[in-house]
Formats: sequence, C-alpha cells, structure tokens
Amino acid sequence: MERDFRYTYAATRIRCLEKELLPLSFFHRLIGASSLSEVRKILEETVYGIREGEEFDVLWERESRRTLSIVKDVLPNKRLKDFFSYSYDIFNLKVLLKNKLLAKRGMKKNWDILVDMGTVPVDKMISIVENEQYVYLPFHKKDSVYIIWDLLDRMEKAELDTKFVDLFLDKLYFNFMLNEAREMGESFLVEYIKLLIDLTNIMTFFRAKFAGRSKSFLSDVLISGGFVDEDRLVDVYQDNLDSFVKVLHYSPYSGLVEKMAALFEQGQDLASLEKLKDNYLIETLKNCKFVMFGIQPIVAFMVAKDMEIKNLRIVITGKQAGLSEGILKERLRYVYV
Amino acid sequence: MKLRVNPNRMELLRLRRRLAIARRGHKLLKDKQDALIKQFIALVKENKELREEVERELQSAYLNFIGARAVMSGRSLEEALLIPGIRSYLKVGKVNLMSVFVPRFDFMQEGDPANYGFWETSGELDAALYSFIKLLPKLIKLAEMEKAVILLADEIERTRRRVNALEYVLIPQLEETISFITMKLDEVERAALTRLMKIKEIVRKH
Repeated sequence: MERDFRYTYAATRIRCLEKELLPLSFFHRLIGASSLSEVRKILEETVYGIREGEEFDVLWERESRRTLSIVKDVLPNKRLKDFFSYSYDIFNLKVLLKNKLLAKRGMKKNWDILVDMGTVPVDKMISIVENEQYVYLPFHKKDSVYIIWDLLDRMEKAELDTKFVDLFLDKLYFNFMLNEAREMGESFLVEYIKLLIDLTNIMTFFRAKFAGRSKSFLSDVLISGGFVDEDRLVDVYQDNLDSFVKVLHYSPYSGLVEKMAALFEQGQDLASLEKLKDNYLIETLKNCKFVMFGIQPIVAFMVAKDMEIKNLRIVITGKQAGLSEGILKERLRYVYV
Repeated sequence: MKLRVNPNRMELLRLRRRLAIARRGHKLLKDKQDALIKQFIALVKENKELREEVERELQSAYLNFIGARAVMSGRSLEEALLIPGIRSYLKVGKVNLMSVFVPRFDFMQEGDPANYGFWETSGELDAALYSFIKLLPKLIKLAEMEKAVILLADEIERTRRRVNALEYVLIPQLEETISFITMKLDEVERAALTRLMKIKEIVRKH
C-alpha cells in the first residue's frame, strides 16, 4: 500500500490530541452528577474549561473553533484548510439569503447568528449578498451564481417555499465539496462526502415519510453524488419499507437501514433514527484509527469532536430539562475513543 | 325585616303584585341557574379532558424540542427557524350560550412547519414542530373553552346571587310586610268593629 507522507505531521499531532477526547465513562459520570454546578466542576477537568458564569453554548462554540483551528494548523495546504471551513460559508450564505427574504417581507434582519469561521469573512459575505455579487462566493462561480439567482427568482414568483434556500444550498455545498475532494485527488475525502450525502439522503427519506411528503418533493430534495443513486430511493418511496431495505441490501448501509426501518415501523421515532445514523458515522470512521499515513485521522478527529460536543449538549440540555439518567444514557451517541 | 311602607290596602295590593313577580322571577332564575350549572358541568368535564390531552401532548412536543435543541447547535436551530413556514389565521367571534356571550375562535393554518433543509437539522426538530402545529388548534380550542367556563362561572355566580337575594331577602321581606299590612288592616278592621259595637251599645243604653 502506498504511504501518503503529506499528512505525517498532521496525523501524529491529531493522534496526540485524540487523547483529549472524552470516553463513554466520562459521559456516564456527567449524567450521574447531582447538579449543574457539579457538571461544571467535572467539565473543568477536561479541555472544556468553563469560566464563571459562562453559558454552555459559548463553550461548545469555543471548542469547535479550537478544533477547526488545530486542524487548519496541521493541514499542509490552503485548499485543504479551506475544505473544512466551507460548511460555515454555506451556513452564513443561508442566513443572509433568508434575511434577504425576511427583509422583502418587511421583517427585521437577524445577522447575530453569522459565524466567523468560514473562508469568507463575515463582513465580506454580507457585502456579497447585499450587493448581489454572488460571483465572489468561494463555490463554483457559474454554478453558485446561477443557482442563487434561480432560487431567488423562483422565490419571488412564489414557485418555491423558503425552505428551498436550505435545500438548494445543501445540494450546492455537497456538489462543490465532492468536486473539491476529487480535484485534490483525495479519495478518502470523496468517500467521506459520499457517506455524508448517503446518510443525509437516508434520513431525508424517513423524515419525508414521517411528514407525509410527496414523491416529487423527495426527488427535489435528495442530494446526488452519493454511493447510492438517489433515484432508487425515490422509486421505492411510495412502496412499503421492505422495498427500501431491499434497494439498499447490497450497499454498506444494509444493516443500518434494516434497523432504521424496524424502528420507524414501530413508532416513527425520528430521534432513535438520528442516533443510529450518528452511530453509523462514528463506527465507520473508527476504521481511521488504523490508518497511520493519510488524511483519515484528521477527518475522524473532527467528526469525533463534533459528536463529543453533541453528546455533551445532550447531557447538559437534558440535565437542565430534568430528564432522567436512563433517557440521557439512551440518547448518547457512540464515542470515538 | 319588613319594608317601611304605609300599611294600607293599596300598598298591600302593590306588594302582593311585587311578591307574585318576585316568585315568578325566582323560579325563572332558579331554572336558569340549573341549566347553567348543567351546561357548566358538561363544559368543565370537556375542558378537563382537553386540558389533560393538551398537557400530555405538550410534554411530548417539548421533549422532542429539547432533543432537537440538544443535537443541534444554537446557531443551526436559529437558522432553521429563521423564516416561519406556517401562516396562521385567527377569527374571533361571539356565541350566545344561555344568554352568556362566550368567545368563538376560528383558527386556520397553512404551510409547512419544517421550513428548512435536512442536512444539519435533526429529525427530532421535525417531530417537535409537527407536534406543536398539531397542538396549536387544540390550544386555541382550550383557550376558547376555558374562557367560556370562566364566563359561565361568573354568570352562575351572578344568577345565584340574584336567586338568593330573591329567595332569602326580597320574598321574605315582601311576605313579612304583606303579613304585617294584613294584620294591621285586620287590626284596624277589628278596632272599627269594636268601636261600632261599643257605640251601638252606648246608643242602646240611652
């Protein structure tokens, strides 16, 4: 097997940082804490050092920012560094376009949620959207401009719902990320993006079924480019779930969709389906632990960190809401370490 | 306590008329009170069932929302909910229920509550929003019903006060006064008779 020495430093540094990841026993300890002040004390032992009177949300954001900065620090080139920041650009773009639509309806703009972790600074992003200079967006220039103009035009004519801002931009994002990964020649990144597309599509399938949406809606919102052809999912949408399971029988997701279909038929519990999806992602990325040379440990670390923050949010939000220990343990996602 | 009136026949006739009206009014108000209480009990029972149902569903919707809040970052949640997908219309009217005007809410909603993309949002958010949307007409109905219950309770209270005032104050007062006037008139009649007899006796002696 050919060794990729470009990521030797990055992979080694990330391996060291993996020691910081919180094990499952830590989450159980957190769940067992008698009060939120005890939770704060326990968190102080970790990299999530919480300051006096600081909100938990600030903590999660600071850690996400730190993780991104570490990853950017260890990656060898700008294109790769940017690759992990585009999701923030697309988030800001969604917020700004939605604000544009809100302003047209005479409602107040809300720019407070913009996040300065993308490749385009927030001020510049605002100026791009406000002056409609979409060519300056980091995504494929022609595509993004065409998609955004078309989207806004169809919204104006009330042909589309405002939710299509998110849906179209998600498609634009995944399409762009897939191309970037291919152009950089990073086969693992291509596989990772395809995995994300498939998992999003599978979850979308169940969410559309839950809401009783039409087949044409599903066909509009599924993202192309994954390992599984999205048209196959559309074809079996109106059949029973067995057909859906059969369609994915020879895919890597056969076990996952079998469990998901069984759970969905039992009680349409989307929360459990989300958990299965997250666990599948972590389980798949656990294989990266055995890769010594390559970008895999870096991607796995980022996902592991996201999942860790998600688990912490589950525990703390649940504790604030007074949920029982049993429910909290049941909702926890797998941990990477 | 009797009324302060002149004990004469005219007053007696007037008070008897008043007593007859008061008794008829008392009967009518008593019937109204009974009907109101019957209506009230039925409404309270329905209201209790609806409230329990709403509270149960609200709890489950909030549980889903807490789940969504836990798995999504604050920013993602705000972004997802930036533009509301549902447009709601509420028409407020009044209905006459046993001569009590209770509010009538006609609630309509159109659109899709899940007005966001599927990537980076949680299925629990869909579940929470759909539960809230399903719950909203019930909440409006509950508000309508609870207001009707409050208004009916006020009306029952008012009617009971009137019934009691008639039953324990006005009617006894009128009866007492009538009896007083009757006695007084009888007394006057007896006095006149005695006087006449006395005069007759004096006349006979002479």
